[in-house]
Amino acid sequence: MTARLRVLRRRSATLVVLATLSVVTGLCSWQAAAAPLDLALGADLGWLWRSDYGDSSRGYRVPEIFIAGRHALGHRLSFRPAVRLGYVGLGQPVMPSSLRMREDDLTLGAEAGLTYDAVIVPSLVLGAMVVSRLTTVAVAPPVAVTGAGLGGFDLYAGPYVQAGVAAKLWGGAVMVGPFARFASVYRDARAHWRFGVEASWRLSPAAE
Amino acid sequence: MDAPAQSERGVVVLVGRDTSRRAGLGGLALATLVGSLCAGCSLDPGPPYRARVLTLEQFDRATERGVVALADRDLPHLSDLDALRGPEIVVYRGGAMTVRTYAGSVVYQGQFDHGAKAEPRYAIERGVVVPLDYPSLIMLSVHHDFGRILDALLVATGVSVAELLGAARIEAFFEPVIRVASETADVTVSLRLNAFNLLGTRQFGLAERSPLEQAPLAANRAVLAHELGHALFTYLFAGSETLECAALGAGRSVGQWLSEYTVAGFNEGFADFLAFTVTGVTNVLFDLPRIDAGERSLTRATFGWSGLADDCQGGLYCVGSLLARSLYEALLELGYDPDDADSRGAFARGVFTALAHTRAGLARLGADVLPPPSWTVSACAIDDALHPVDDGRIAGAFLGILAEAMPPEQRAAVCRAFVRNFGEEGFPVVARGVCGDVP
Repeated sequence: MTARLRVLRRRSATLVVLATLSVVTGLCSWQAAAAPLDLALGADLGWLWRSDYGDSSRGYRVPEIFIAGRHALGHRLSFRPAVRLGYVGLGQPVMPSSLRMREDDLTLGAEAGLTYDAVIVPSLVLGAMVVSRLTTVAVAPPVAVTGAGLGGFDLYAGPYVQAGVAAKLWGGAVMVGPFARFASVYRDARAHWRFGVEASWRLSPAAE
Repeated sequence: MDAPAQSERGVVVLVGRDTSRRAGLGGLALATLVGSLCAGCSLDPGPPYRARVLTLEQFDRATERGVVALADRDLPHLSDLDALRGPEIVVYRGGAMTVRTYAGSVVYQGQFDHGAKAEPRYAIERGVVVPLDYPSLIMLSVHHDFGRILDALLVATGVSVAELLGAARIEAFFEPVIRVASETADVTVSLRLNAFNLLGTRQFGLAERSPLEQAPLAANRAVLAHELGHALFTYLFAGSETLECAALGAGRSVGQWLSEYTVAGFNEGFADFLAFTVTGVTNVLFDLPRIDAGERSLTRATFGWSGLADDCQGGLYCVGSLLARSLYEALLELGYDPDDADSRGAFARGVFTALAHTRAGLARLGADVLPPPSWTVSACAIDDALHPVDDGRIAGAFLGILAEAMPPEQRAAVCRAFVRNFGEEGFPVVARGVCGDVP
């Protein structure tokens, strides 16, 4: 009973985060609609820490691409919405030779963040993502599938928060810096933390 | 296990496997959101539970090949799915195994800590728990296979589950972090291709998977039965005595006896023999063709005691294989059917009953029969290698007592097998006792 209450409390908290995120995103988008957004195209390479072995975690390379906007809010603060597409599956855990279980994830995230424009640009982002996972299982003797087998297509969702800093290069046309992200995917508690480096290229002239 | 109501289905299945082909993108997104938020709303399908697991289904003695099926099976010993816990068995995720001394697959000094709640990831399909990732599949399979071993225990050994477990549970730690701590080193290692029993406990460690395995070793019922065989050996050999290492004195304490190279080897042999009795598997390494040299095979190995140094590379496992092979040969000679569990049990119950008499029998022997314990044994550590003469005297004494305690109708065949495989060096004439008169 206690465990069930704890789960419900956790879900309620996540619901509040998602609702808050939606409201903030909506308000900022509404304000940003009055002015043009600076757009940037970006890519990042991160290491996702996932506990596939017992309860210990190992890192997997995860590439992503994203499109981010930027709208100045004043006092050097900017609103930074973005959508990002990632792939988790370049690295797979070790498997026995006759039973290979492979997970390939496509992740689609939408986020809203704030940046502070200084020599180094710190950022804080809240987002939500959908994970589309294809699980495939290949077997060979002595393993034999006598029933329905395993694997298939599954969908997951969850919020994330990301913090990072970036250095401005070429007058701010290119931004490069490290980030750390904490994600909570429903029904998959194996992976939370991701660390990486992202870079973005401004597509439109800065509206100073 | 008929088709369930929609509300019984796990959310992932609801949105991902069953409905997605029919739903449009909007419906899919909505179902995802609702499904994700309502993940805990799905009804628990048990107990009793039925799950998709890996389990050893067939073993062909002629080719020593097995079939490990991915199939739906009942888990009658499971009462809490999230914790993978039941009255007799619990499976933990990870944890830390500290090893101070070990030999074979027995940790003589060490401990397990910090095993996390298993929390397998699963969907429910038609009332069946379907694991969604590799650790969940293996942990469910381990629980299922230990359950099947316990179901077979009484027939196979004459020892009931209640007797073996007492107030304890089988505690299996799935892929723990292994720390080897000694006076000269303290390192964390990724140990693979093995499972372990902590001496004197019902705790088992399942080492990390390896590509050298075909089917996962942790889901190999013969391997799990072998490990439980160590717990059974210690229970029967030590009886109610503690395993503490006594000071060097006139005799040996139980801890010192268990540290004798030969007795540690016999521990492995009885474990292999229990694996055979419970599963019919005559080679617990059948799943490791790139490693298996046939030394553990009850049907193919041919070395004897005199060839332990040159013809077998497995150290104390080789001593165990000699014992297990002898028992197997006696079973065949007496006409028991190795493919029938009841028939195997009818022979093996005599063996395990006799094992319970060996410790007391050894304690009665004097210095004229037994060599004094080495300094290593006195400290309850295991020697690195066989000392053929002294270890032969200990092996002979053990085998003589075991044979004497066997049921009379089985004794002669067992004696002949011991004499054939151990020879004069491993089963000296002076130690043969009742076997001395057997033609």
